[in-house]
Amino acid sequence: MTAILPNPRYTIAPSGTRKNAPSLGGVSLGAAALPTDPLFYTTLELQNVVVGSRYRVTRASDGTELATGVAADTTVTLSSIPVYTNPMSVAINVRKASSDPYYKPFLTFASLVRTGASAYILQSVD
Amino acid sequence: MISINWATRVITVPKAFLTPIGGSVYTLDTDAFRLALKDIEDSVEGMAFPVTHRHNTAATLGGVTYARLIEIINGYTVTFEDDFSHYAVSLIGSNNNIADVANVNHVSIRTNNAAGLIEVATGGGGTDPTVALVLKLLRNKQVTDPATGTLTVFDDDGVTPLVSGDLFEDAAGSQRYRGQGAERRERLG
Repeated sequence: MTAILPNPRYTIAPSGTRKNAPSLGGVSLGAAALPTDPLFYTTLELQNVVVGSRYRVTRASDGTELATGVAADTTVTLSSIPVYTNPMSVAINVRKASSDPYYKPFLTFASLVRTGASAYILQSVD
Repeated sequence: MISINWATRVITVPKAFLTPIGGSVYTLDTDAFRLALKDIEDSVEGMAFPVTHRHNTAATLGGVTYARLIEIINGYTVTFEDDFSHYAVSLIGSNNNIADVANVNHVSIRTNNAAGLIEVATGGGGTDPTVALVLKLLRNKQVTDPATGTLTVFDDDGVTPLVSGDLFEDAAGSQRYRGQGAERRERLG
């Protein structure tokens, strides 16, 4: 069925569930969370990273990649990491082997909660 | 350059990566080889896969420098470029297991592993069955039976026969042992 909406006006207002609830010409348009949506987003801090190292953060349970990049500083702050369970275990892989000095691959784990988490990266020279 | 097929976990070494030393013989600098692998491992693509090898660097002890150790792990294998010229590759610069994980083709591989002090499984009745048997043969109860003319070595319990062999009074093996001294014993089995 085709609905004809005269003079449609589109508005977005906070709903009772803290989600934005758009309204179109008096008709509410809802957005429901899917079971696969993250519970929340949080911050993961990697400390003591050798500058130039490549890091990769994955969900420990299924290997889903959450973040990746090259460390520009000894502290790497990864914001907006999606968290699907509370707490959620993540695997942190850090490697630096493209230029001297070379480091052994480093793997550690962290538990992400609503307040985030930090991990100390202890790389050793290869 | 070195390449890795992540799906099959095959590491391919092109002939150009090798150093010719005359004839159809080439050398592979295994340290350069593993650094090339490391370089791939920390690439955007390589980060998603397990590491290819384990490395223990060269170490100096008491004035002697022991060679580095490189072990290909996680199911990776190595294929040297096969151009059907039947060339040979000498692995230099480390003790390694590259030959053990190499895929067979027309390329010959020469390892140069050298062992100084090595570790073996030891211990009284330990995990090595050969060592355990030797200890039993040396220590356990033995009976020379004049009735049957045999020598029997018993298990640790002193009851269960372990091995037995014919025993003779003369070296020629014509007179079985009768309790009057023996000159010859056959293989225990």
